[in-house]
Amino acid sequence: MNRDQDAEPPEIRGGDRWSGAALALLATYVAFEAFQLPFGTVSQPGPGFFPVLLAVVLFVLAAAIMITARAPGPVIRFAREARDVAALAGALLVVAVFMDRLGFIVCATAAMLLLLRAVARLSWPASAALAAGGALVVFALFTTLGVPLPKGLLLPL
Amino acid sequence: MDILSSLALGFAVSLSLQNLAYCFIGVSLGLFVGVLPGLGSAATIALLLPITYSLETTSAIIMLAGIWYGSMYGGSITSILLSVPGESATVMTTLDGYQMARRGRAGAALGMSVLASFIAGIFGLAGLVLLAPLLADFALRFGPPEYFALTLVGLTLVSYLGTQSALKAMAAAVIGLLLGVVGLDPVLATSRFTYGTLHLQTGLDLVPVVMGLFGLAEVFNMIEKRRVRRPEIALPKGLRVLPNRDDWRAAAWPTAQGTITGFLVGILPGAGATVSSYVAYALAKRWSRHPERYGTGEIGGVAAPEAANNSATGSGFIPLLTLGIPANVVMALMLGAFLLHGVTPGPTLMFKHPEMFWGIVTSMFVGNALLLVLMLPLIGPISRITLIPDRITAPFITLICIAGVYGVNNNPVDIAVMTLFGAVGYLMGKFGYPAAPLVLAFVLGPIMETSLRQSLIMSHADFSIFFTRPVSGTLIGLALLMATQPLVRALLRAAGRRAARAGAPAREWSDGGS
Repeated sequence: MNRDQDAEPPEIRGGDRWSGAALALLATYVAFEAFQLPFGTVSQPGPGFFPVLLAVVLFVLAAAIMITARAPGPVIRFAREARDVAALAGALLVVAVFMDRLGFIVCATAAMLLLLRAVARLSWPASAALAAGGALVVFALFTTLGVPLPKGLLLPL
Repeated sequence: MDILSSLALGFAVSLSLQNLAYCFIGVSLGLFVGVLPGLGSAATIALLLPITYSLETTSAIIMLAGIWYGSMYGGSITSILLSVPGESATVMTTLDGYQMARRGRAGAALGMSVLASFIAGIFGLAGLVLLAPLLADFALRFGPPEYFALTLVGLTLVSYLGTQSALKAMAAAVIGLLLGVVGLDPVLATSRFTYGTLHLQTGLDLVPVVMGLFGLAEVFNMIEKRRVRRPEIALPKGLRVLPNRDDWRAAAWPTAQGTITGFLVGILPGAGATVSSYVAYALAKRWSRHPERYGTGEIGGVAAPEAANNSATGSGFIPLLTLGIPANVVMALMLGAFLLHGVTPGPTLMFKHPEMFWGIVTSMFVGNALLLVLMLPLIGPISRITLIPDRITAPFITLICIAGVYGVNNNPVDIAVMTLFGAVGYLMGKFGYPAAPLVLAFVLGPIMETSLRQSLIMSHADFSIFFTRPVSGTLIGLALLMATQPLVRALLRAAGRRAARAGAPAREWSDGGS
């Protein structure tokens, strides 16, 4: 048993049954949506034909995954660092919101600073230098290659 | 046009200064990320798709192809030195390569892997050159039922081979097909699953989906695992990389066998380099006079899988360039790159754009030669790339993800879509669902749906059209056999377990919390 020291990491037991159930739900939803589309006939299949077919196949597969799941099922473990994963995902959504207003360099530097501090555990000066440097290099590289990135706040420079 | 003049035309394109430069950039990048464990070639190609937008189609594909086979060369370095495969296709190389390195023969193992890769790479390409025109000619007669059958075989094979659970892989593939449905109906232009937004009208973009599933999901894994890696093999100074005469004698047959195996497996839709390396290693062991030596540092165990994965990279291009059907995930990304440039690869590519077709093919000869010249003298310094820890690479991958995904349309929604698929990819990994079938299915989806519907219209709802035509009948039969087999086997196993447990008190599976 490799229980971690202090806090217990979250874990999900019976992973296959849960994921199978989630897929079955998804299949049901897709079928519901797809039935709103014109199905056509088999000789003249309409837009709803293929998604309905896929929903049925997905449902069968989901059922098979649940039925064939081994009794306790695999235990899905999340390490304590899974919090950082959620934090990064959140940070990226924030970047998406501010990208147009603040521009690539500011947003990317901020995101990099966060990662270099929290994940790489570098010192502040090293993180700041790498973050700003990395953002500038990527910005220059992409712009010269003809992929425009928003300058945003740095427009007057 | 005969083959020699075609090759001459191709080399004129691929040896132009510009394309030579992109080829060099491609193989160097591929080499670099191949050596970095964690970041696979599919992720790298996804990350670099955006910067190829502004290039010409030919240059773009030349560079992306370079990344792919370059990473095959690079992936073996970490396999041999650290027993950590840099690429999924170099897993088998760890078995004997690492043992050779522990016995102080790292140089010979590295050298042999480069040389076997090069020999097989060249032979694989020669096969591509000879076979592609014949297949393209044949494929001109393919109708919708054949295309439907090809996509079906591709998806069942990718689910069946090299995955732990065929059921889960198939489920992932169906989700990919469903994601491909989003947008306008390819036949009647009805909006489907767009929720009234304009953004989804044109369908989900390939780039944010793939960068999320492969790029960002990998970052998430790195962050969670915080892998700390220390090389256990110190490279001796003045590494002798050329194998000696005995090495050559022992490796000659495995190299030849790996080349042929890799080529044949690589053509199969859904198979690809990784599977070919497994098959080649197994065959090399079985056909060896000393199978017991495999796994203890036998040079044939390095040569066979290395030859196979490089031969498979060449033959993997055949279905894409002649049929327009990507055989694996990397080829799906290549198809994406072609489509982004408004070129649809298929049987007519060779006739409509001979300079593009032959330019791409010949560039791979050039790239393999570049890799040989780069790697033999520089293998020592290149190996040091393995010392870069994940915690440093993860932030930089994130940076490139943001830049790449935003650069495509300058639409911040794409960053959100990428983040969503990053989370999806991370959770799929946790629950044991592979992402590769999803991406392949996502790309194949529209082809599959259109050909299915056209076939049914052609046949007036008669499903026998798929079975009575010889090519599609064979392929569909194959696909059905593979698709149903794991299901039946798994159900039988479950029934058997239930029967066996009938006497014993049933164990309960708890729901872990909630």
